[in-house]
Amino acid sequence: MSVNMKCYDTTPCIRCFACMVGCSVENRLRLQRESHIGIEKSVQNRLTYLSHLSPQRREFGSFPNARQVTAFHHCNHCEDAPCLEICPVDAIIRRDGKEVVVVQETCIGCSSCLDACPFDVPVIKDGKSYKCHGCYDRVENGLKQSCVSACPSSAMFSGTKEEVLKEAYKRAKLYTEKTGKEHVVYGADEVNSTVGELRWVTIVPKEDLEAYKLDTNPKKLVMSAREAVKVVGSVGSVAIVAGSIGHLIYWLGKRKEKISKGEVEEK
Amino acid sequence: MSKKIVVYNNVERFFHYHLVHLVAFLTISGLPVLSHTFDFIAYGLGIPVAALTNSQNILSAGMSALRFIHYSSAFLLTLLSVPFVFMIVRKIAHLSMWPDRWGVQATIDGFKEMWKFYIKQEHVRFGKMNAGQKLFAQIVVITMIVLAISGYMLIFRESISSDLATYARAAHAISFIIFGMMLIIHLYLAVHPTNKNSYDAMFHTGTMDEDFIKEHHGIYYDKLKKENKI
Repeated sequence: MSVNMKCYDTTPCIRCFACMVGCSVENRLRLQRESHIGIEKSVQNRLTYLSHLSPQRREFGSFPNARQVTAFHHCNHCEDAPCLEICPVDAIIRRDGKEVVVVQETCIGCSSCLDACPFDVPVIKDGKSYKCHGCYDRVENGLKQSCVSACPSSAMFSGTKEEVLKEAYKRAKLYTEKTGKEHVVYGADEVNSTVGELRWVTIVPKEDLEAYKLDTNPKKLVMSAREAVKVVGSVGSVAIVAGSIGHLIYWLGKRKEKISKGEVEEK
Repeated sequence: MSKKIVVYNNVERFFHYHLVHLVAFLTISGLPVLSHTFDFIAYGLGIPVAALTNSQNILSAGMSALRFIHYSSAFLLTLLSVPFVFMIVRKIAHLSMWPDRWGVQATIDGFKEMWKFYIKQEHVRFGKMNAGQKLFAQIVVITMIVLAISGYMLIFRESISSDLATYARAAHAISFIIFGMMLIIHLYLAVHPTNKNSYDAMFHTGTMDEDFIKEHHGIYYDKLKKENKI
């Protein structure tokens, strides 16, 4: 199966939030289907942890040049997903389409994924971790992701990596020519060594990367330090054990030599 | 017959005795979270736990059980630490872990003495602890304090910010790794033939012969003499 990818194009987005409503509805339906929870129950509570796509509306500049952008906060299904690497119970898996998915039955809610994720995506609720699963069940059955299906303005589209990137680069080139502002496809190339490429890419004016909270170096320094110390600790521990064995052999030999010379008494 | 001198009192011995198995529980139950290299521990425990709880996932069942052991051991260690810390605080200025002399030269001299004793096997006059033991004790105290604070922050992580919890997780792991490396050295030297008297004093008698102290811990002997404890 080829790599599945989603793209959010900031230019045609009309901020109707149909994608977010679609995501929330789809996950409630999953709850009814998989957990046998009646529709009344699943809509009585807000269940915000089931909205895997959340808007963060931000305003920039001052009148008359003020403008509003809506940054999307969601899982990027990283190529080198730190959450998947750190999960101690292997509850985070990668599907054939490369969607990074939390297996709820396996998750113990230790929050390791939350600490590792440089985008602060996973939500821990009632001892389980929740995040976007790329609607892998829909995709594997020939449907589009719920957010993509809901989008009325083609601001969200998906497909195989090749299809999505081809369309994304075409749009970015068009916007650059029409507006004079350089547009980029964030996440198409390796973002950094922590996350690699992203499976959720965003077409955005380069100057607005920060406004849309698209981090060009997503990294948690403190977690990187933890990993570095683990390597140092492993090498150090082996060196200490080897040194201790070496010292014991040397010490016993030296003591034997001293005993044979009569310098110390054998006990 | 040489007089017996109490070098470790009952509180110290009781604390150390239980510290041994609680640290063992904490280490064994924490390692699988630190690295996948130690997944076998979770699998080993997970097999019976999954069978008893009818769980479908062995690794998750094992890890949940290990988390219970980790939290319980941490709680017991906290309880156990109360009288020990109380005792330590009362004599904080007179602890053996503080250097007899301060400064770079004193530190160098301390390690030269250790070199003579552990490598050249020459007779050396130590205090109750040598320079290495003092350094070890200081590092262990610092790392245990960091481990305890960061550990409780992680248990109650819903009460703190996500960023702070991430720092706590990293601090917990880093301080454990430093603590772990120190522990390997400590275990080796604890069972080393040259430290048999200290081992017996800590785990069995609490005492050492006056003659032994005079010969091997000369500075400590002088101190006891000065304080009229001998």
